[in-house]
Amino acid sequence: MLLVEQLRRAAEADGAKPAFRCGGVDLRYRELVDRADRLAAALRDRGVGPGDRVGILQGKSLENPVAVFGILAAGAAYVPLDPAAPVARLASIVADCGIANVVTEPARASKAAKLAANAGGLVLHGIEADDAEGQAAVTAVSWDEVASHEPLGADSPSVGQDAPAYVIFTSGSTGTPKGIVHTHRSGSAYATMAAELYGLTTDDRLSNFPPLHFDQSTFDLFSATLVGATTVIIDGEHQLVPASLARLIEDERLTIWYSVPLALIQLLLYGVLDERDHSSLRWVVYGGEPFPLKHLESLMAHWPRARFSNCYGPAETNQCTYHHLGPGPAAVRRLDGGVPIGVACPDVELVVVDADDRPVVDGDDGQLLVSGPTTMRGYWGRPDLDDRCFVDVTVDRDVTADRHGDADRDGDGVGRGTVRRYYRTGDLVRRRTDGLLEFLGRADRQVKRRGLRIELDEVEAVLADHEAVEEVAVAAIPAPPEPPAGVGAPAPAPAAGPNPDGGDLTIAAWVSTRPGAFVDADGLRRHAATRLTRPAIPTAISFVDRFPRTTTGKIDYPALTATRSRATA
Amino acid sequence: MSHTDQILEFVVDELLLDPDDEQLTLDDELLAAERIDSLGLMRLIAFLGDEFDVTVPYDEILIENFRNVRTIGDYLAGKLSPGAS
Repeated sequence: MLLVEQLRRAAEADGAKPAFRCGGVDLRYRELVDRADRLAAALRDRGVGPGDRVGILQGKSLENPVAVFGILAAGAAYVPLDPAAPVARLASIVADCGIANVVTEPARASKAAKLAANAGGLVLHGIEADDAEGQAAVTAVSWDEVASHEPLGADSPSVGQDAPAYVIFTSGSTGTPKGIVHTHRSGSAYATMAAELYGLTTDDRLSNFPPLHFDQSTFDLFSATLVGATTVIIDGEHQLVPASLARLIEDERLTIWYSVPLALIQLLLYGVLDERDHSSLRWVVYGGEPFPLKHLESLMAHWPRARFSNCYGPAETNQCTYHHLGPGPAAVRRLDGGVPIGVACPDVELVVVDADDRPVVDGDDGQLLVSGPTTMRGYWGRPDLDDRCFVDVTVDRDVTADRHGDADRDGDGVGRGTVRRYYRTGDLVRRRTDGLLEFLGRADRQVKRRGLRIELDEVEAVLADHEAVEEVAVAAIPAPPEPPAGVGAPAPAPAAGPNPDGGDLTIAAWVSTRPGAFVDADGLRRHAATRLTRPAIPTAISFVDRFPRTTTGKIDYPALTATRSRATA
Repeated sequence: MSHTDQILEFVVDELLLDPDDEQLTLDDELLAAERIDSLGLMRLIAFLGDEFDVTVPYDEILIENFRNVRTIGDYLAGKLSPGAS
């Protein structure tokens, strides 16, 4: 089903029900459809139609679902633009996708206008021209003007299931972001699967925590509107202030929480949970990175009635495995090591392969390949990447049982000797004797910081572009949380990740400069800030005369990171 | 310099994510407009501790206290007034 059709059905079933809430304000299903259809009409007036892409440059607000469903109702695909990313990076996405229209908001007017100037002109919807004071002349379509359009409604253009619905850009290893294209088919397959997996009903009240440019945001946007539930959008203030967020969860009686572990760890450490009644929570779903066990166990003790679900899946495939825990912290104490990523989601096929793409036997390490209806169509305009990330594998029933002892459950005839197209996750896993998959690490140099993917190769490529740089190496090093001096209060934001203490990662760079050229660490960081999102900008930069080398002449990364550890110990 | 002005100066000099944002006023939203991030908020709390010798317990780190420089100044004044715990 088309994603906007899901919304229309929910509105027909109960139009007065709040679809979204933010800051205590309701956006009812009927209002959302009406506003989205008026935006679709305004976009159509500007020439937007099936096959087009429209940007969204917004913080967390009730305007998010209006923008998303309005763009979809116009037959176009939406492209979320990270409001915290440098203008040059956003401009490259806008150019790559041929975006001519962006839906924004007054608080982002200045950035939107800079982007428009950089991109050689854009139509900005959702602001007045005056909002972008001090910027060059902008073409603006205010919400009042949008609202004056007749809703598109039944005139909404029809697009196919395989038309793009959204394009999410992520770190690309060559220095250019790459766009993950999801279609109405893959988006609604994910929504249907998530609704089924967590038993969503109209009575549920979901959190919407991740920003739109983070793939996790589609979980609640599309699965909640599929079943006619209510989603509470967590605004920027509540994201920053854990004690206020804890109060919001209580006041809004949330039943489903979904975020990266970091947000939950901050709630646990600084949210003063003892003073709150969070008994409404029935599912706490997390993903994006591992949850340090000591924090997971504490949180499960605070929320003894909630079941927890570790979900795994790159943005390219949506969620493709899950492992449910609890209720109660005893489940964590029984774990041997970390939380497994578990078993395949319904209708998802998994296979673990060796370096030659041959399936390995259970118990052996290998790369995880994923096939199923929630997988992306491909990368935007990058057939070269598609060729590398999709692979046809001859599957053997014995090694592709999608669930333990549950071979060919769907009766689709996939059996011995069948060729199937898989997406390479780049993640190393192992299938244990109990049939559960364990996540072991990356096959490449991608790291996660605060749930966001960072390709260290991209950081290197950007730094290497600086005219003074001769050679560069970048690594991610676990950084223990350090409390700020002089307070009996919180340590800085901890981040879950490879650091078992839940500490943050330091992105460290080593740089050699060209003879006669000069740049200092601040200069390099300023250069990086024009191209990279903030979490990817190296915080530790060391200048070296020469790099330690392996016997094959490659940069010896372990030797480099060891020098850093000694220097900071 | 008043306490509120000291806080404003610290926020502008040290915490703002957008270096072009130097025209910050007492009433400009800090959190809602994402002018500072979570690390900035923690540094601000550390600053209140260092500069004014107050401890900020977790349950007072609330949006209403840290919304803008004026509310932070009011919160600090409350902490420093005689009889405050």
